[in-house]
Amino acid sequence: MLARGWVADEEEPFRRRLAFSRAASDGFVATAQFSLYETSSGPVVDSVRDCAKGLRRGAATGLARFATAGRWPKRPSLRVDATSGVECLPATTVLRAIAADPSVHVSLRDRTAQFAQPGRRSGVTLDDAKSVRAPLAALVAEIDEQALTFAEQHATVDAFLAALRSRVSGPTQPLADVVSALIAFDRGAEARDLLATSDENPSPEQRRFARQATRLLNGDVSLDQLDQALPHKPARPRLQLGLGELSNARGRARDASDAVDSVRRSAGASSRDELRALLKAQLAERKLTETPMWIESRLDELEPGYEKPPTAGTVRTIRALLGAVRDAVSSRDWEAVDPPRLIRPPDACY
Amino acid sequence: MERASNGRVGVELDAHVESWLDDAFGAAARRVELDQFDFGYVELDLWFAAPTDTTDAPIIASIGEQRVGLVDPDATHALKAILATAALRAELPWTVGHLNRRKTEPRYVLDFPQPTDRDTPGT
Repeated sequence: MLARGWVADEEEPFRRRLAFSRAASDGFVATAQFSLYETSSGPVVDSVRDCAKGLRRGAATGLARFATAGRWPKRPSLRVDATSGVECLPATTVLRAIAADPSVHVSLRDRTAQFAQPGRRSGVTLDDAKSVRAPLAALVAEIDEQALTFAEQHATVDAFLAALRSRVSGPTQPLADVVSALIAFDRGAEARDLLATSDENPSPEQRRFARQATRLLNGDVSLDQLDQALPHKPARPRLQLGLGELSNARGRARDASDAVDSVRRSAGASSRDELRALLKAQLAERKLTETPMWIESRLDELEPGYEKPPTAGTVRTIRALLGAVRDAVSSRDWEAVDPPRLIRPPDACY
Repeated sequence: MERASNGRVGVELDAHVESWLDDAFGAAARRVELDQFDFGYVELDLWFAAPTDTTDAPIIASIGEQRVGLVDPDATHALKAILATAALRAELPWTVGHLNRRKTEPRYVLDFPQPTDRDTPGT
């Protein structure tokens, strides 16, 4: 049984969703849908422009793209690219999709048909709102012919899982998609088996997923709990390059120098620990923070008998520094380095 | 408002950990060294855990399986929030720290990027 019709999008008044659905086996519904702007009521000029943009974007990238096979009602989807490998969402999102509600929605996205026909990549040009309907008719035909067919081919749990499994052999294919789908389809035992036989040298993210999926399967944690906390990795400080920042930097440097001078005047016979505390206090008084290395270097300068490093070898120093950085970068793939066991964090660190 | 110019947090290193840091420094592959000045630093994974007995205690910083010190108390508040959310996943947060080796005492200085609100889920 085929149903089709326009559905208004509550969040975007000018957007209409053209949706198709077809009953399939196992209580599944094969659906294909496409979102477009509908402007026959004569919207303002700006909206017509938006409409054209929407259609161009849709014609270029969206034809037959939204083929879905999944349970109804719709839930946050796990999207699968059928041509270039599985496009997985972060494990946290996938797990969320599995959700406490077993009627999870999983979609399969096909790009094979997207560029299958010559000329399909060109955008649709609209002169006015009245020309919306013609490209819509072409889209409907496209969806009928390809998207629904594609959706129907993957409208059962087994077909969907088979499509997912066929992607597992690829080097970039994460195991997470198949495991997530198995859990979603209440096939926990199969999920456990797959986890147990997975890659012997998993990446940190794969280890992480396996660990959390196992906790979920064991009932040690709920999806709501998992969803509450995202993994933490402190962001690196961003480089600030504005002229205002340069001016501020000069002011900060001057104030930091004043702080050091203040400590120097009151240094006396204080220990290094006492000087460190004093310098931190002086910096805090000026609302400044400096790196621990900067502080230690300034404390070095306050030590009796401190000698400033010679500047004659500046060029050699710069060369040495550049060489060290070049060697470090060129000789090793920083991202791929697997740290030795001695300094490797526990598996529970993310 | 704090005029943070560099945004790095220090770790107060434990006593008697220096020889172990020698090994860690040597084991880290991501290294920049200036032999001319006997100075260099390595990047390595630094992870955090909170003591279970008290709520106000400093946060423990570790490398590998070795506890190396305590996080600067100024950063405790931000890290506690991060630890609390990570605990829901039975995980421990980590970051990339800089282990700096110096010519003079203290021979090692360990620091890591200052956590921000963006690092804490839900903020």
